[in-house]
Amino acid sequence: MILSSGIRGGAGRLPRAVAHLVAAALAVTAMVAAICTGPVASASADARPRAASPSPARVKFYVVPPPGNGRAESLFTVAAETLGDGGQYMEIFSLNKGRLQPNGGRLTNPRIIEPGWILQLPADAAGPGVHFGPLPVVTPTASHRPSRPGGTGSAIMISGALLAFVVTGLTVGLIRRRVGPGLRRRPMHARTPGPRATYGAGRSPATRLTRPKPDPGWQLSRDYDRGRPPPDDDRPSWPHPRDPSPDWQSPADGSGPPPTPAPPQQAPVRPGSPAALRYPPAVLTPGIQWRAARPPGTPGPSPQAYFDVNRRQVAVTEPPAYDWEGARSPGGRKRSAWLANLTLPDADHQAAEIRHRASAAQSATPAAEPPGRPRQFRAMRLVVLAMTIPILFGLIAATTELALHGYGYFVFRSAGTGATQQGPSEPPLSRLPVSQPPTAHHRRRHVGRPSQDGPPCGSSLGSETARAIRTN
Amino acid sequence: MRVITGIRNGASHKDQLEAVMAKPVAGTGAARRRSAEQARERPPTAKNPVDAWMDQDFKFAGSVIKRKTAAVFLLGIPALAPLFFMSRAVIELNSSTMNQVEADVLGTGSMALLILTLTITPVVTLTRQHWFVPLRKWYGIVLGCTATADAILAAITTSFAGGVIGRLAGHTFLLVGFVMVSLLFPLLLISNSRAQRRLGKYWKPLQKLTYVIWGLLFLHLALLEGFGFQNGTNGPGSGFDHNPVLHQRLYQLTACSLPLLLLRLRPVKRWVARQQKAGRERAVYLTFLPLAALYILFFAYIVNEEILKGVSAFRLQPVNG
Repeated sequence: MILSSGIRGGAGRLPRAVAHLVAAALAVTAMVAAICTGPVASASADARPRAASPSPARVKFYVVPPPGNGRAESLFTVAAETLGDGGQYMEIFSLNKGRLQPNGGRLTNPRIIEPGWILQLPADAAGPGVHFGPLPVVTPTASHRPSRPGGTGSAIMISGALLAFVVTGLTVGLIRRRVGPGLRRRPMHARTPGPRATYGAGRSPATRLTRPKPDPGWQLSRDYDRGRPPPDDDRPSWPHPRDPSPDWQSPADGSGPPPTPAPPQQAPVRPGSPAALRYPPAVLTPGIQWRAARPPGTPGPSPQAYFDVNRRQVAVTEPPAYDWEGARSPGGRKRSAWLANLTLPDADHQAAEIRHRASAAQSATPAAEPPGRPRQFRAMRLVVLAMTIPILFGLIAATTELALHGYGYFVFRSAGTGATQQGPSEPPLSRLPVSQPPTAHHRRRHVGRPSQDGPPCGSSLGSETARAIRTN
Repeated sequence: MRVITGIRNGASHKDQLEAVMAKPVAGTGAARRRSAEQARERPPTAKNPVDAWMDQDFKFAGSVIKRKTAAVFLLGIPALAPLFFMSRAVIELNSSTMNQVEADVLGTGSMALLILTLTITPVVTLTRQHWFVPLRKWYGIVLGCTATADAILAAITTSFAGGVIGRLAGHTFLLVGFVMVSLLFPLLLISNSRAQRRLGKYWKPLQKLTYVIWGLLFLHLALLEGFGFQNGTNGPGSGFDHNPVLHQRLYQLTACSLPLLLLRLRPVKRWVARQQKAGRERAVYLTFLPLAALYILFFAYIVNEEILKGVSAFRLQPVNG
């Protein structure tokens, strides 16, 4: 919104479709280029600066094995196997931090080690995987992309989704531009405020205005709402202002409306029924051609005659003679009739509209609130539903987690008082050292931000250990 | 109403019609007509001198734009920073960076954006300026995008047990965060004029769910980090920088929310309006100066962390701590 409305002008000379096509092509090209070239560039930048310097001294080191039996190594397990205490993983981390590894990566995060990496160990390390000797010389190899199992696929999915989103958006925008003004939304300044005006918006197509000018018998209204019965002023509109009917007798005080025929029935008024003819075109039957009982400008019958003439038209079911421009684009999206109302071409239409408003306002009873819920209720319910469904989904998922792993697992805190040391570094439940004593967990508890600094520090995610932690 | 008045006063039918046709604007009335005439007489001026200054046009790059348009544009750009910081990691498929700092970059960014969104109204109350009000919608939209991106990346790249569902709702704070995003995303979708028209009077109450999200953010941070002071390293290494309170997100949010909440209370707003009406704006500013200083101090730490973590994420060398 801000971006688009920020700077105007300048770019309007190119045909819009061409400009959008060029923009779409550029965007897609840029994304593809970034996806194809990005990792390689970053990897070469990573591997270039310095080669690992061979260590002349004989040290103890450990080669990270490939994951076996679904169990991946972590600094914690390495420390537990070689030093006897997984909590000392930070010593290994500090010894190896930033050193180039055979696959081009570097140890920068204690949570992430990869198979094949050579980890220097403290002097007191011992165990089956501990080697002793000069630290092997590491030469930078081909590009290295730090990744986790499954991470690349996920990232590809994200990028693909983003790409699809952008391309779809641009395509839809282009189609909207190309198809023409029939699909375009009207700019805000050209819209009417307040409730949507209807000549039967949302009703059958023939309830819209189908003739360029209303006959004198018409009442034009924008106040009728969907599902709302017509107001109480059920009289025909006044005669045409340019040729007032001599048959119409104004009351002595000038305050009264023209004489009206008695309504044959009250609500509900169904389209097509004779009673509907007392009401504006918003409730008319498809195909009805409203006709004047007399040519405009000639003396003629009273409004009752209009009523009678038009009542006879009920049986006429011919299609509308033509569509008024703006009311509906053939083959396009249905345009609501309030647009047509906005473009009333001459004073006759406006006068007709104003007449109706005057008569409506003059009626003794104010327009009643529509019975039941307003039409916006449905949209609101949809939005609330869109919020409620994912929340319910989340609650069900959380309940499942709670039932599966227990309260101690579910109530998790990464830092601060009561931190349970799980978090983004927690490994899958299947390879947790359930028998790990909680003391190891508490020993590392106040160093940095354990949830992000370190590998899993011994707290079991199983309910047993969680219970043990709570009791300690 | 004018039309009705004329009819009831016994004007002739022709006069009535002419009067009606002369003014085809709906909903007319004497008061409205008078105000329209007055508006024609005097040039449209903003109530506040700053607003009036912002309403003026100036030439820029061959086009004429308003000052406030340029100002709002410039103030709106930084809101995209969290998404920008993470964009490289997403485009280059760097799952390591996404895994380590996406919560810090996008989560902290979402918190900052929520605070910014909630800041607009109190600033209007204090300054009686309105030129920056469009920023509220913009910050809200970017907040929705950032929070949704945070949830998506967290569901895909973090290492919580339990798969995607476990990463979204496997712990208490995750569940609260997921509820927040579930509320935010529909709000994001209805942040347009069409939805506003469709929803009518329901639009504003729905958008006021932002306050629920505000409350849930407190819960989210309390469940995630508690009330301790461990979260104070803010950089490589693992040492405190002797300002643990300033780094604790829960305290950051609390300090920033205090003036925002206070300036939303009706008695406070009434008092501010009374003072401003009496010409004592300076007293209002002096009263809220300590709270504003508190807000700025803690918000600066939020921005500091966002920039630090964000730049490290953009360099694909994520910083923990």
